[in-house]
Amino acid sequence: MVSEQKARDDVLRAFEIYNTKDMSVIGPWYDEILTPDCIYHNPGVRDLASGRESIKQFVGGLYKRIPNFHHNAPDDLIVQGDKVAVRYSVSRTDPASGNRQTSMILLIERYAGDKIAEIWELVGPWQDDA
Amino acid sequence: MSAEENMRIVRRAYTEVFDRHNLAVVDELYAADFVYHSPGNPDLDREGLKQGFAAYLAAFPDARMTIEDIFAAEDRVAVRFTCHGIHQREYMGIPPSGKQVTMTAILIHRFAGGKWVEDWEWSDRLGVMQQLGVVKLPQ
Repeated sequence: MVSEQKARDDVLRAFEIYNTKDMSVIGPWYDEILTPDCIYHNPGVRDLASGRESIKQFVGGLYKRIPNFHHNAPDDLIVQGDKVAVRYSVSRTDPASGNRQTSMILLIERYAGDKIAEIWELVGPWQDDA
Repeated sequence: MSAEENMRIVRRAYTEVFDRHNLAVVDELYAADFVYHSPGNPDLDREGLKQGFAAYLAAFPDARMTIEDIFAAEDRVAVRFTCHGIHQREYMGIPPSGKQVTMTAILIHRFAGGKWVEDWEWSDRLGVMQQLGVVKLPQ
């Protein structure tokens, strides 16, 4: 089973790596922390095939599509046994208005051994920053 | 209070509210200065949360709530649940449709000094609106 420290470190490290926006960095990171058949559940992203490779493609698309996409440091991080819950937010520049916007996200991950085997994510609406 | 005790309190609240429609449990288990955060909506206090539960249960009186996952560490409890119900009365301005609706949610509950003080919740509201036929997503 994953140690609490590794699960915490994985989350913090992941956010740093996401913010490189570089799939040549993010891809190998996914190989390191996701099982090959990892399943990603997000009701806003239907029809995503299971498996690490389709998660890579999906995430790669986000960086291409969303201007100035940025992962903010986690607001909340809960680790218990093989489960992790994270409350965090992402930011972007709204292509229509040019405003900086933030979306709140709640995430649960399940580890199998020392890799993540399943992810559930619920993503809030984009809202203009105050 | 231990994480285990906090988890028991959360389970009890869910059971009382969703299975027994007992909203009095909210005053019993939640702190008077409780705050509920959900993105895109104004924060709710304890009374507001109770009204939210009442509106949902009135619209989906046969709703069945299933805790898919629950775990806790220190002062936090994380929950993932699904709710299935038939839309039988008006909900958020939408007239009763008779449709079967499934909602998924993730919540983080925070306890402090033995009291349930704060929630962060996000549910698949767009999915609910799609199931009710109010919103259609571009293909």
